[in-house]
Amino acid sequence: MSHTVLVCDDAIFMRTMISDILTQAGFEVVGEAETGVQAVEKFRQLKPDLVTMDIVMPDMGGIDAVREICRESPEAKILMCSAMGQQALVVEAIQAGAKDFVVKPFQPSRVLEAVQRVLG
Amino acid sequence: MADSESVRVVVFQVGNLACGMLAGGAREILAPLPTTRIPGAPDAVLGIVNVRGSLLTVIDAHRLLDRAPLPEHEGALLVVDAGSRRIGLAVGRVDDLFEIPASQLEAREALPGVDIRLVKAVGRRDGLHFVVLDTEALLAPLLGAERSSSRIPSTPGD
Amino acid sequence: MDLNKYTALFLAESREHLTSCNRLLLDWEREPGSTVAVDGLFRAIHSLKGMAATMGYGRLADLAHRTEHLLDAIRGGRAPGGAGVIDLLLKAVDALERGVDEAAAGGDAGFDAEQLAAALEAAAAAPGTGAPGPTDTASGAIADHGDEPGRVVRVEIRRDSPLIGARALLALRRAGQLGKVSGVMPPESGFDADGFDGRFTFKLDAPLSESELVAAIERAGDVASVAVDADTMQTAEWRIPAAAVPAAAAAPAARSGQVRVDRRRLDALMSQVGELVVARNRLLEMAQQDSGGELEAVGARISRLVSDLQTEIIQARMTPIWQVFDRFPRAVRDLARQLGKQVRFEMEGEGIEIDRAILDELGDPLLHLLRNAVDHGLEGPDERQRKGKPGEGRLLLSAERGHSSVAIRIQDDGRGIDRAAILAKAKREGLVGAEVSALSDDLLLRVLGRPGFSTAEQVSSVSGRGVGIDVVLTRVRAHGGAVEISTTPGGGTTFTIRLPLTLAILRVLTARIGDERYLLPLSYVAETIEFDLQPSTAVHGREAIVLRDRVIPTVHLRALLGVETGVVPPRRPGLVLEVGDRRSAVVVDALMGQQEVVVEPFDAPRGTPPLFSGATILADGTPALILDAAALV
Repeated sequence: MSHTVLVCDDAIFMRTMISDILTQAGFEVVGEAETGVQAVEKFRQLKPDLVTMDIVMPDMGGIDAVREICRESPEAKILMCSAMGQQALVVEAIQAGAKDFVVKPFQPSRVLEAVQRVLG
Repeated sequence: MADSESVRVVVFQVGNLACGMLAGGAREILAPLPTTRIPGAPDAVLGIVNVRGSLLTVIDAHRLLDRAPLPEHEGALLVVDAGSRRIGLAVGRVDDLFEIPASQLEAREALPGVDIRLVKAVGRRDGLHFVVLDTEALLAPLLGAERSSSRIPSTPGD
Repeated sequence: MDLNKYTALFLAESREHLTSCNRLLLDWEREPGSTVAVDGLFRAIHSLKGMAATMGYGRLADLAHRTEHLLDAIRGGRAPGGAGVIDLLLKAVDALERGVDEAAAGGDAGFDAEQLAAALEAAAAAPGTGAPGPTDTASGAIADHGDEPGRVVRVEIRRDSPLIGARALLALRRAGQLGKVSGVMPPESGFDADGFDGRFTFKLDAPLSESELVAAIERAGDVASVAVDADTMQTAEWRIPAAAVPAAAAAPAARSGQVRVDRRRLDALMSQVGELVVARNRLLEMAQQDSGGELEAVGARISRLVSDLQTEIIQARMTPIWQVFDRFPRAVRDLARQLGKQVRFEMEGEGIEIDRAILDELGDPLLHLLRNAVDHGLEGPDERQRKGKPGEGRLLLSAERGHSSVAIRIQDDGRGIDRAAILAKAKREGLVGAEVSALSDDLLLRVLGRPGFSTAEQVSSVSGRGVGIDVVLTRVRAHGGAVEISTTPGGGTTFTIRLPLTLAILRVLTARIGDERYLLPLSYVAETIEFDLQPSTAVHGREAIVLRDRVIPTVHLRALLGVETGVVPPRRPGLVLEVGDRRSAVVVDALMGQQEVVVEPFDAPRGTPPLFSGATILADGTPALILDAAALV
C-alpha cells in the first residue's frame, strides 16, 4: 500500500526528476500540476497523501496554493521545493502550512528524508 | 654484489688496537669537535659536543679499552647508537668501512689485554686481525639507570 | 565525507566532556540535593552522543544514549539518584572514556559495554521518587516554579543546513505540536535574518518526558542538538551559573573565539623559535663588532621582534593547571574508598597557567604524591578519632604563582613521616653514616629520593606500583624545578614542587670559572654580591658569609666542579641562590651577563654528580651546562 503523491512544478525536468526519485522509492505519483491553480484543483480531486510544491509557478504561486489547500484541508502534507536564497518565501510557506522543504539541486536522499519526516 | 651472508664493518684504531664495529650501529664519522667537560663525570667521559645543533655526549674509547692514544692518530668521532641512546665514541683513527662475508668473522676469543666481555667476534681482512666490539657492553657501565648506593653526604640542616 | 580529520577534535572534546562528568559526579556525591550536576552531566553526555554518532561510532553512541537516558529519568524524577547510581554513572564515564580512546584509535568495533548498558537500563527503569529531581530537596526547588510552567528548550540547527532559518521554524512548529510555546529567542521574525546562526531557545509547556520532547523536535530534520532545562527561563542566554559549575564544565561554553591547535604544531613552532633565538644571539655577537653600523641597528630590531615572537608563543603554550588537576578528585576518591579512608580533597589555584610541556610531565608525579598521601599519610577514620582528629582527613592540592615560577603544594593532615624509622632504615641500607643522629627535611628528602627506597612499611598495592619519590624528583629537576618536604609527626606532610612557568627557553646568568662557562637559572638568583668583600664565618664547620645579618653557606664552584684552569682573581663575584627558603652563596671567577637559552635535555653519564639540570648551545656554538640551583643550596 504505497503513498500517493501529487507533484507540482512548472518545469518538466523538475517534475520528471522528483517523480523518478519518489517512484524508485516506492511512492505512487498520481498526478502532476504546472500551475498553482492546477495544484489546488488536482488536490481536491486526487486527495494525495503528499504534495511536492514548487514556490515559483505561473498563474498562482506555490505559497498561495499552499494557503488555499491548507484552508480546505488542514491535514494536507505539503513539501516545498525551493532554491537557495528563497528563505523568506519558504518561511512564508511554512507559516501558510507547509510541513517541510527541500532545496535544489535535489539530492535523492535529502528528498526522501524530508518526505519521511512529512509523512511520519 | 655481496650475498646476504655479508656484514658491513667499520674498522678503526684505538691506540695500538685494531677495532671494528658493525656498521649498523654507527651513524656517522666526524672529525674531533670542541668538547665541553662534564665535571665529576667518570674519566672515560670526555664531555659534550655540538653536532649540528644537537648535543652529544662523547666517551673516550682509549679509556674504555685501556689503550694509550698514539701521537700519529689525529682522532675521530664515531656517532654510535647504543640501546636507546646516541653517543659519540672518540677513537684514534677510522681506517675503513667495508663489507666482508660473515664467515670471516670468528667467534670471540681471548686476546691479550682485551676484556673478552667487550668482544663480539674477531674479524680478519688482508691478513690483519681486528676485534669487533660489543658497543652496548662497552658503554653499559656509563649509560643506563643511576643505581649507585653510595652514601648521601650528610649536610647539617640549615 | 572524510571523518578522519575530525578524529582529533572528537577525541579532545569528548575527553573534556568526560573529565567534566567525573567532576560533576563528585560534586553530586558531595551535594546530593544539587540539580546543577545532573543538568551538566546530561548536557555533556548528550554532546558526546551527538559527536560519536556523527563520527559513526555506533556502539559508543549507544552507551552514551543509555547513560543520557538514565540521567534524563533521574532529572524527570522517574528514576532515583543516590550513591549506587553515582557509582554506576562513574563506571559509565570510565567505559565511555575507554570507548572514546578506542574509537579514535581505530573505530569502536571492539567496544563492548553490554553489561553496563543493561545496568544503566535497569537503573533508568527503577521506580523514581515520584517528583522531579534527584532528591526531595531538589524536587522542592523545582516545584516552586509551578506557577510558571514550562521548560526552557534550546535548539541548535546544523550550521550546514540549507535555509537554516526555515529549518529552525520547522523545529519550532514541531515543538508547537507538543504543547504551548512562548518566549522564543531570538523571535521567530528574526529567523530569516542574515546573522541567524540556527540557535534559539523558547519555553515549552508540554506533558512529555525530556527524551520524548527531544525526539519530537529532532524530527524537524537537520537538528544538531536539543537541550531541555528543568528550570524556568530567566534569560535568553544558556544559563550556566558560573559560581555553581566548576571551571571544567563551564569551559566548553566559554571557549568561543578560541581555536584549538595541535600541540605538535605548537611544539614545532616553539623549537623553530628556539633556533631563531640561538641565531639571534649569534647575530648580536657579530653586531657588537660592528658598533654603530647598520648591522647593529638591524640586529637590535631583529632581536626585539624575536623576543616578541617568543613571548607570544610561550603565551600560546600556557595552559591552565586544572587541565591536569581535573583528573585528581576522581582518583583520590576511588583510592580513599578502596582503602576505607575518608578524605576531603580540595584544590586551589587551578586557574594558574603554566607551560603545556611542563604540565604534561606533571600529572604522574603529582598523582604519585597524592596516592602516597592517601595511602601512607592519612590515617583511617578510627585511628584519626583515637588521636582526636576529625575522622575525615584533609588533602589539599594548591598552586601558587611566583614571579617566574609556580609552587605546587600537596598538603595532608595525616600522621607525618616517621623520621626515626626512615633514619634507621637509611642506616641499615648504608645510605647515611652512623654518626647522623637526626634527619633534616633536606636529608630526609634525599633519602626518600633514593631509587628503590620505599617509605611504606610494606609496599601496598596502591603506591607500590608507578613512580617512586626518586622519579618525582628526577622529573621535576629535569624541568629546572625543585622539590621540598616538610613533615610534622602527627600533623601531616607537605610536599612543595617549584617549577619555572616555562621550560623551553630559560633566562640564565653566565658565570665563568677558569676558561669554562656555566649557566645558572636566573629565576633562582636572588642577588649578586662581591664575595671577597663579605664578612665570612663558619656554620657547622662549613664556610659561610654574613649578608644582612643572615648566615649563608658558601659554595665555591671552582672547587665543586674541579676547575683547574685560570687563576683565581683577587675579587670574585658571588651569586645568592634562593630555592624555597634555602639559600647559598655561589662563588665564581666572573659573571658574563644574562641571556636566554634553549634548554636541551641532558642525560648525564652514570656516576656524574647530580649538579646539572640541562645543557644548551651558546651563541658561539659551544655546549654549556646549566647548573641545578636546587643542588647547590
